[in-house]
Amino acid sequence: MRLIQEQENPIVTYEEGYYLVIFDYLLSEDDGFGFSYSNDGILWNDGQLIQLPRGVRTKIAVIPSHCTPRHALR
Amino acid sequence: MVSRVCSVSVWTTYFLTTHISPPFALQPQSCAPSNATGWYVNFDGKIWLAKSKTPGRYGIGGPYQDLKIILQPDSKSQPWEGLQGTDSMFVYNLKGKDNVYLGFYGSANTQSTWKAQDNKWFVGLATANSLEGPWVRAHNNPVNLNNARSGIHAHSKQ
Repeated sequence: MRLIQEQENPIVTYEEGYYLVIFDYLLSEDDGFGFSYSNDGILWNDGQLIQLPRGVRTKIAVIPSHCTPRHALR
Repeated sequence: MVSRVCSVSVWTTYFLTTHISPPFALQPQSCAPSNATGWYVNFDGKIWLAKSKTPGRYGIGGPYQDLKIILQPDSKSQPWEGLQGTDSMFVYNLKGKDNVYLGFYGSANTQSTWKAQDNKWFVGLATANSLEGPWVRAHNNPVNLNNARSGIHAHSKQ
């Protein structure tokens, strides 16, 4: 079986003990963007397609929103 | 991408220049013109490093000074790196290890035949002990991030 490798622009962030990467999932841009994670920032797990209704040509960032008492919905 | 160093003392950025220096050109004589079966765009991709001249948090607004090329097509290029050269660089720091930097860099085999089933766009990892480098390509590149549909468990490690 052939490896499917059509990806670019991976952006890595570190959050709560994990390295997260989002990237252009070139074969399915009409469906969303790619996502993978790593425990050590070196060994990366299988990616998956994160689906968005309008597709994603180029993702820009993924930013966690921390729920604190100040920001929590009341 | 832009990286912050030593609590807003200096800002470092990596970029791909749009300047194409000789002997390379968008349509090098060694390649056939782009057509229905091939996309022969040679971008001569070279990753430059620049640092902000203005110290402090507002240094992010520049101006920046070009320092050097930290990754480019050379004798250490790998087979998956195509005519795009090194076309992007996304650097991150390992948590708790100030002197360990990794960077995803991209390239494309734009000289391969223009068929949907052909892989063209890849990413690989490079490592360095400082933002200035030297940056060393990982031996088992490219990294396959999006193999969910292939069902192949292909990991990459340093």
